[in-house]
Amino acid sequence: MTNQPDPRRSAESISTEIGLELSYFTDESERNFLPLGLPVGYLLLQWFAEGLVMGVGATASEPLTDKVAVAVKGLRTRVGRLFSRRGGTPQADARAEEELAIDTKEALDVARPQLGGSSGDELTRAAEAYEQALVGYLTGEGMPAVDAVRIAQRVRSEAGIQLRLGW
Amino acid sequence: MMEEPRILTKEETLAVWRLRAIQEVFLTAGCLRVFDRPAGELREAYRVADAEDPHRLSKLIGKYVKRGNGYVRVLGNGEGGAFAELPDGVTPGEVVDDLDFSEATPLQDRLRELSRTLREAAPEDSGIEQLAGAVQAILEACRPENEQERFDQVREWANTEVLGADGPGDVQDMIDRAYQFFERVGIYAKELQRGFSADGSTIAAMLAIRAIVLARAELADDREYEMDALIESILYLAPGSSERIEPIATGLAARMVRLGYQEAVRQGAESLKAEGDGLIVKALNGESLTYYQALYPAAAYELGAVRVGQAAASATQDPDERRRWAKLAVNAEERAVRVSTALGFALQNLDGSGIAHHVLWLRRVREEKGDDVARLKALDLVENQLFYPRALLPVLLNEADPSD
Repeated sequence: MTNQPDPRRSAESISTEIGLELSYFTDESERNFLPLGLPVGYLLLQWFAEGLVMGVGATASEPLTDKVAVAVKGLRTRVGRLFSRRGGTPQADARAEEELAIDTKEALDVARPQLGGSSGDELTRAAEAYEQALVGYLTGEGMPAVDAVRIAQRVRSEAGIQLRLGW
Repeated sequence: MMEEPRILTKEETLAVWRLRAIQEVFLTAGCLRVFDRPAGELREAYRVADAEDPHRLSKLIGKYVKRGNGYVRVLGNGEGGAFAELPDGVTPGEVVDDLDFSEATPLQDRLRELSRTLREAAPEDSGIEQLAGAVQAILEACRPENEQERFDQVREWANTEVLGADGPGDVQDMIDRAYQFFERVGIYAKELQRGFSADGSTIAAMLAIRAIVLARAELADDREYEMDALIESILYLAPGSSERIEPIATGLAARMVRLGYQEAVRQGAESLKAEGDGLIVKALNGESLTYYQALYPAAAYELGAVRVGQAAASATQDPDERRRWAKLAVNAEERAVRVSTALGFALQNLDGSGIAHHVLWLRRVREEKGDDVARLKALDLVENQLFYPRALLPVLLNEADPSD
């Protein structure tokens, strides 16, 4: 066991959990998506970490449900952007992976101190809301609920490992 | 210290030969039946042609290749465009028709050759004799009318054992008969699959009908509705209006969606997918020696989900629902294709050259890009491409104990 954060390991773990469900993230005509497994792993990890930071900052005037709704829209846009590149080459895929790896590391580094001072209840509430939102997003894309739940749980658990949160 | 390799005894050599023969029969028949015979033969014809001339497609860039009733224009990036007719201005020099494999039957030819070899090689061996008999039965089931006969059998059961059967004919009696019928269809589908006696598409249609009708019955509020759900569907498939069962399955799914039973159709499609996905996972976690045998049945369940998903997508009026159905169908199709590709890969690499090639390639990846990248590539070959079971990951990554 290492104490060093290892976002790549978590992104790989999410990517493995997604496995062949990757097709739900993309338009039905897209086929050459396998190189994007790891980038999607990073993307979900980053999205969840950013969501938690937003979620624990929810207030009466800006409730958690509103923040989650905005985050889901953002997720749809980001996923769309990742898959919509045309004529994807191995170099383009590698670049996307590299960029997302950097962004994810940054998001985790920003989130860690911010979440450090939050209460356990607040964190759990935010984590549950974002996990549920991810399930909703995935089932909305046609994925059977059982697979959506499995993937969302993995994302939450890996985010917890990288942010050193115990849930 | 590694032990010195020893010479195999005659019995051991025969056992290895027998094992390889069983594997070859299974994989050839699997490639033939995983979707349907014409598709299986065509894919194999392309594989054989590619193996004989690996650069054949690159020689055709920009040409119009005759395929079936139309043409495919081969593009430089490995993609192709389909044309029903040749576009205006295409010259005869741009058209290639010697790649038309629509009449080729390389898989059935291979099975015939295997049958002959098996009978010649071990006439005194009852196990081999039995295997040769099984090959013969597979070949006999390749008659053009085979798929219709399989559907006729299902229809006959529907007519004689449910609709026209003697009995009280009350609600409970009809429900019981209907469930017995669907149980029989389920067992029949598995028998056909085990014996390679029907195409994957025929078996998938049987499984699909069974799944969506049982889901609708399960969601019925009372016994009357339950009976209606079961009997209406049996009435839909029993008449002899179609030669094939596939349009009956898609027609039934579309009709159910139009009548408002979308939830039942979704439940049926997801149960098919869950079964197919589960079989893939079970195969991945299982023995290396029986990996492809365990993987093969998954394709029919996935194909069943494809048929239901596509039919529901075309029947629903809701654009969001249509998109969700289409995605479910695409995912199931993707899995079915990967199962089929894995079987084709295994058939081409019966001598172990495929894994040797992958081990060397992964070693090169590790040297050039490091352990993590090599491990991900190996995982991709297993988890996504379905080429190998998980037990072979250490072998692929050269981490296996030589004594294993």
